[in-house]
Amino acid sequence: MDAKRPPRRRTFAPLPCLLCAAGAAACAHGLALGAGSADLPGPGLWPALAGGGLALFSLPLVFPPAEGDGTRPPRATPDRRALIGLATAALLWIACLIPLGWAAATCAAVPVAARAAGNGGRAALRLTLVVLVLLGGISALAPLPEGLWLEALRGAG
Amino acid sequence: MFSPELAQQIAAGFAAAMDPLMGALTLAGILLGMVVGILPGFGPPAAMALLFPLTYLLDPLPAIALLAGIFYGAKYGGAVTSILVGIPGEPDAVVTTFEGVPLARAGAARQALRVATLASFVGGMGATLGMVLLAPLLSDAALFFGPLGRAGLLLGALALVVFLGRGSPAKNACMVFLGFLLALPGLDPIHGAERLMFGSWRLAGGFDLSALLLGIFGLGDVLDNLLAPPTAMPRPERGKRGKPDVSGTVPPPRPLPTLLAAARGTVIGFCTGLVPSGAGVTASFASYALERKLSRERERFGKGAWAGLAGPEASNNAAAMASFAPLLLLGLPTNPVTATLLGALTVGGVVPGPLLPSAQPVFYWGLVFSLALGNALLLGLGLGLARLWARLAVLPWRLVWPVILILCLAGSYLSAGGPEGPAQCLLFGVLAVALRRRGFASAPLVLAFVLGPRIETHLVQALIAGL
Repeated sequence: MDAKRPPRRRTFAPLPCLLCAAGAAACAHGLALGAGSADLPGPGLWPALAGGGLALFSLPLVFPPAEGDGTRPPRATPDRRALIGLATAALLWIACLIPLGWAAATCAAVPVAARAAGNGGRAALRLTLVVLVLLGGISALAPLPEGLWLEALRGAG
Repeated sequence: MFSPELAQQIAAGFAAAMDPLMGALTLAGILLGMVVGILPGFGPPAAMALLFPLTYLLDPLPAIALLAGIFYGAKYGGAVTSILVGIPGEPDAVVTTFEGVPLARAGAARQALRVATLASFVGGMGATLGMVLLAPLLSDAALFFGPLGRAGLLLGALALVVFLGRGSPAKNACMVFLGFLLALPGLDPIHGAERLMFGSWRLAGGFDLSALLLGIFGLGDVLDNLLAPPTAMPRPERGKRGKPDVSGTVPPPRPLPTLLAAARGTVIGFCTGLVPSGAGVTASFASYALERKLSRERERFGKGAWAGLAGPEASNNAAAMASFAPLLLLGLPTNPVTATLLGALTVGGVVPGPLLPSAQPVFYWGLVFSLALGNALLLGLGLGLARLWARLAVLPWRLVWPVILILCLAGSYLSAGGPEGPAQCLLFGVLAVALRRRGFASAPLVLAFVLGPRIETHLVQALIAGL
């Protein structure tokens, strides 16, 4: 019992640190807006409370106690190709949507995602058609952008 | 008390629910719900968020009937994959694998699906009836609350989510406050002051709820699966997991004990469904434990016990239905799905609360009857299309996620009305994955995002009124 306990090792967790910083910033923003008084609360009261709460609860998580003997568990190998494909397809779709329209954006993005997911050329083509049909149905109910080029063409006509 | 006026209101609600458009939308919702319940990586909140823009086009009752259909259709869909391939499409359906898989392996898959469907039907109908009976009590109780009481009720619900939800309470509390924070950008509801807009008019309306849901539950799930090791990828494989050996035949289900198990499951599901964060998983595990305790054939559990299948199935459907009661009568969403429904109610101009049955009786009773109708449709679809669901359950993941990705982006564009929607969807997808991988749950964040502005309004009203 007389043996001294080794000090509990702690690690640093960046995500709670970011949450804590965001909370503190929101709290400061709220106080700058004006928290008001107890009978006349200002617009900054709720941001100050919400930000303060986030900072308060995330602070103890910034330095969590280390688990086990300190060796990290083996990391899972992510499907890098698929992840890059997902990011590229998403950005491509967003970038093409307004200038080229939903159909062209889909024709550009889905084959990229489908190939990155490990599908063959034919499956990618089929998937593109499936998504085009689905979005066509959705667009009939709630219109998606048809593209600036089409509007320019209509304007010229 | 039952009065001629109430009878008229109920009749008007029944007529509204029997409208062909309502029936078609309820059917569409259930079919879509079954599909998303079966497919991995696309849960009901994401599917509901995808169809959220329709709430701007449809009347509130058909819109909510459609979205609600997705919710309880997905509950059944989760059971199908649990029984047939041993992969729960929904977290609530984990317990269903305990008995469903052994039953399927013993050659009783079709019967197991039938029992699960009937149990879901019993659970759904029982909870709908319970909701009707409970409505006057909840309404009377809720009328006592002033602004401070309402703020306290909502904060109490979030406190329950913090302590009862998955993950550590400290991390759940962080997520609640982060949800409050994400709901802050825009104009403050009382003074109209600009908050956290960073000079951008695009943030004047705050972050979009659909983009948040599609990001967290649609794109986030896709990213989660791509980041997971290949063994954890949701690719159904038959016969490669260490499932219990089922030697000998499974006795056929005895109607009365199975029905009683479903009835007990309904009661457990209904009670837990009323509690924030209590629905689904808690209900099904509690029901399974109870059935195991009450059973005279405890040794059959884990080898194909019908009561162990019927009880949890009834309980998770009952919990789903019961969660409509606090939503409609207190304006209190108890899970991300009902939080989405609250958003849809707000868009449709429906004010949930204790006065809803009397102020908007056609909507309230119409929804109650549409829930009952939906359960009947679920019974027919579940029994009739079992083979189709089984085929859908083994669809390869590589075919599914590119479709989910584009649907999430398109849905968030439509809901936000501009390219900021897909951008927010991507942002929330990445945020959700980063948070989940460090043990932070998404549900408290979503609930706080929806409830934050309401709590603030009630709190400020109470302070101005001198508490």
